[in-house]
Amino acid sequence: MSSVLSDIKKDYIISLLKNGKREDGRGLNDMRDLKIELGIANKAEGSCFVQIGDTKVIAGVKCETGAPFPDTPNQGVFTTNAELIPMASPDFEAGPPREDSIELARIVDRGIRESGAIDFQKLVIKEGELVRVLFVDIHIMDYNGNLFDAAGIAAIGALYNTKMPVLDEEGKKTEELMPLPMKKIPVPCTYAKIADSILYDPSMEEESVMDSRITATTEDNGRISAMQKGDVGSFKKEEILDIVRRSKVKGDEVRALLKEKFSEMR
Amino acid sequence: MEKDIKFFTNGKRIDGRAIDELRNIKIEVGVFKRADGSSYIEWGGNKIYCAVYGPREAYPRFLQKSDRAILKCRYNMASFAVEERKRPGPSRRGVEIGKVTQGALEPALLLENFPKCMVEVNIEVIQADAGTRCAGITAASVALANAGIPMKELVPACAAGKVEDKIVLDLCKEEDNYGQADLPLALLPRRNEFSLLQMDGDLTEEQLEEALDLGRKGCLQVYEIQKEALKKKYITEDVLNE
Amino acid sequence: MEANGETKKEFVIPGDYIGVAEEFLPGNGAYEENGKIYATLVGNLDLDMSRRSASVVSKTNVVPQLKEGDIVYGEVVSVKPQMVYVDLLALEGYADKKLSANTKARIYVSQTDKKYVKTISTEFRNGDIVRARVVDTQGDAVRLSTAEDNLGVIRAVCGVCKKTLQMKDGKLECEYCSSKETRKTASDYLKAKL
Repeated sequence: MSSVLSDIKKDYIISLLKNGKREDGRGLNDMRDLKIELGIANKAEGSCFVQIGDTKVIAGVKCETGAPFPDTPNQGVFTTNAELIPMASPDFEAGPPREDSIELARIVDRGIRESGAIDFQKLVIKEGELVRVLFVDIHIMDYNGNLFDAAGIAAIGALYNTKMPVLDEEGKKTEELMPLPMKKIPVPCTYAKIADSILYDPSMEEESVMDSRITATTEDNGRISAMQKGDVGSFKKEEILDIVRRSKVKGDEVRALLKEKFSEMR
Repeated sequence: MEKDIKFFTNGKRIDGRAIDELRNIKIEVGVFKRADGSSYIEWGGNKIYCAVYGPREAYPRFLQKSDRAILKCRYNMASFAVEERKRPGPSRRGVEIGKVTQGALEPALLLENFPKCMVEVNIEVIQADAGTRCAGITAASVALANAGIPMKELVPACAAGKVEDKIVLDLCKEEDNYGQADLPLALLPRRNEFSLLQMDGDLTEEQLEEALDLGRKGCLQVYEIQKEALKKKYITEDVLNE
Repeated sequence: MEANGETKKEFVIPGDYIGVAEEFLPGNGAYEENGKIYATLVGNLDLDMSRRSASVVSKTNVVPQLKEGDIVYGEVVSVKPQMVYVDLLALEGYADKKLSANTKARIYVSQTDKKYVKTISTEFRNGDIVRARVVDTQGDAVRLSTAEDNLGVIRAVCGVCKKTLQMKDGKLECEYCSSKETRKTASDYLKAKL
């Protein structure tokens, strides 16, 4: 949308928010419909499709082996990559990843890495020489707001869905399959700040007019594993704490759905 | 190309098909909100999405044509769509497939209705299993119809090939990897002309003729599936509305 | 579907044969080749016997194209004595889609308001965002009209301090410098939903 039109849109969205309303009729704490499907791409070792409202994201996991980083010889390697492909929006362009997709990938990466969701030490085949190398690739298919949560949920879903070949002592693949050593289910929750309202799961229209946003990733035990304030704008301390409290509640709801899907899988 | 594979057992192929039999194909129309037109195709083990944007003003501006819209086709494979992880981002293979896809689709479109504009076709392969370019063209043509881009006809695509000196339709992965020839084709059904033609391998003139004939038959079957998908989408909508 | 004459409803897809050129003229969603008419869109066939036209009423997404009667949004980019130039931004109902073709438009002084307007500079200024109706798409610039209550400026800025002008008792006023200005405003000035 052109910038002048988005200003007009903003006036309208703010006038609704003054009465606690959102354009699509949701309350400030409501998520759009969430759908999670596991194992949708069988060339990947693990995969997950996530739909939040009309936003659609696919994440796939590929497992390889390689040398560990010199400073972490006793840990596996984990890489997250996100692609804002032109399929998803008329505003996304082909080519090397740009700021937005790199930020997206890094928010997802931090949420998973820092929560200790994966037991990286169990990914070592031969210390200092050979470890598992995990790639999580996130494909944005249809962009209609809140990619952070969709991508984060898809990534953790795909990791839990992963079945990788058991390796023999030399690191050669065997026929047997095993799951990843997963320990936690971190879930990101994104809040947008528009005027003085803070609303969960911003739609594309809301994102186009928001002043700022915060993504808070929480774990099963209520701890916070990653946060990111994005866009131009600022938050008060009370607002930040409010977002974290809300994230725990909403994160638990998403986690419950993920757990249900994981149990169906086994 | 040589490998100890038994391609035929009792006249049936590796995956149990007859020589002139297609794999299972399923097409869904209108799967995305943001795109102007979209589709999803499952063809054997292939899973491919297609989104169409436009017509909108072409940029960069030097690409604009004063008498017609330009067609841009982008083919991309997800890094997890294949056995060995593919490095994300553009590849030479993807760029070439995008180009031949454009050549296959454009003759069917009435782009002269939209001067200075562009129509963009995005093909994303989520799971690859031989024949992605034909599946992509087939899906793209349906997505273009879904976007309301005027066209003379739909464009179905399908490959023919040669394994163990026999001409077969719609190669599967093993046949594609270890067979003797691959001939991906797209057909303009009403004009009865081919708009995609590529070949690699080894064919005699007679075998080429046989493969073109068989490929054409395959395309016509795919054409029926395209038509059914559009009918299903819009006639079902009608029933729901009434 | 129009009621005049005999009409026939049949689902067609691009490439379907829908009539002969001797009998029909190709209408919207149809084209002629070698004396035969074929569908170019997915939709319902409309054979209008009285007008002898064969067309397709599209059922798919449609390409937003400007036609007479459409409501559009635009930005005033230049004010001349007899007209203003407008850069078109979007078609109503397609606010998030870019316009495909001609985006240059004009509003002539005579089509500014229902009442008589002497000079257009009292009605529009550069940078105003307007909602207008397309009255003519022929020629090199689209012609627009704002002579309806819900048409006109939906957002304007103060000529002095560039802040958004507020509507107070039916008049535009700047909250910061108290300067007053006039415009042909739409009835939902600053409250437009898009």
